Amino acid sequence: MGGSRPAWKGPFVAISLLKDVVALARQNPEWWNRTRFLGAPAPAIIRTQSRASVILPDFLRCVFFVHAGNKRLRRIEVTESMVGHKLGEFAATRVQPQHKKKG
Amino acid sequence: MLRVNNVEIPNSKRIEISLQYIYGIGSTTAQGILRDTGVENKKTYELNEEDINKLREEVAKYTTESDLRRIVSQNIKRLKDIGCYRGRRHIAGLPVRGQNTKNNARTRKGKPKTVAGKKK
Repeated sequence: MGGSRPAWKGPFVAISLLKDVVALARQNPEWWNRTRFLGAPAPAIIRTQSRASVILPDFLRCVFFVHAGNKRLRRIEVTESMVGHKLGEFAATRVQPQHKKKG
Repeated sequence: MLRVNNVEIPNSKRIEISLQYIYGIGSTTAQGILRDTGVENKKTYELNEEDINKLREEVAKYTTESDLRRIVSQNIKRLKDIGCYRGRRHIAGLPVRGQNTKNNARTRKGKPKTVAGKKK
């Protein structure tokens, strides 16, 4: 796993992703400031390729389409317990192997 | 045989070793406990009541046994519930930390299950 990231850098989040989230917040201030804490679903879905970005507490209730290789996207809805993990952890890149059945 | 921390019954070995029979106490912690309490590392049956009480108090400061087991299983359950990569590996019973699974990984995968029909 190697060494851990120095604390002064803060968590890594891709600039493009951050911009998209800020744009979403600006467009839907009511949802961003209030209703998402009451469990309201996100008004729009954010597409991103940045699997390495850390999920910030501010991303709560946001819905992402996370790139999972080969133009496949995985839908991810952020819940509280996902904070601190990276987006890629929730978007499986491998297909479940289908073994040949007997007979 | 004697009881420390409710359930544990370490035996007639040296106390440093006996303490390690408690879940959550390994060699480092056991040595630390002896250092902090000033109890001599004698055979467990040679300890007097005072020493044993000191040890009991010191052991109680650590998270051990059922408490620790519960914390560990809660952590694993959290990973499973949020459906992250590590959680999925736990559910599948495969290595969690990126080890190869082409061969070996038997600790996680359990006893080998032979797959038929791979003869020359």
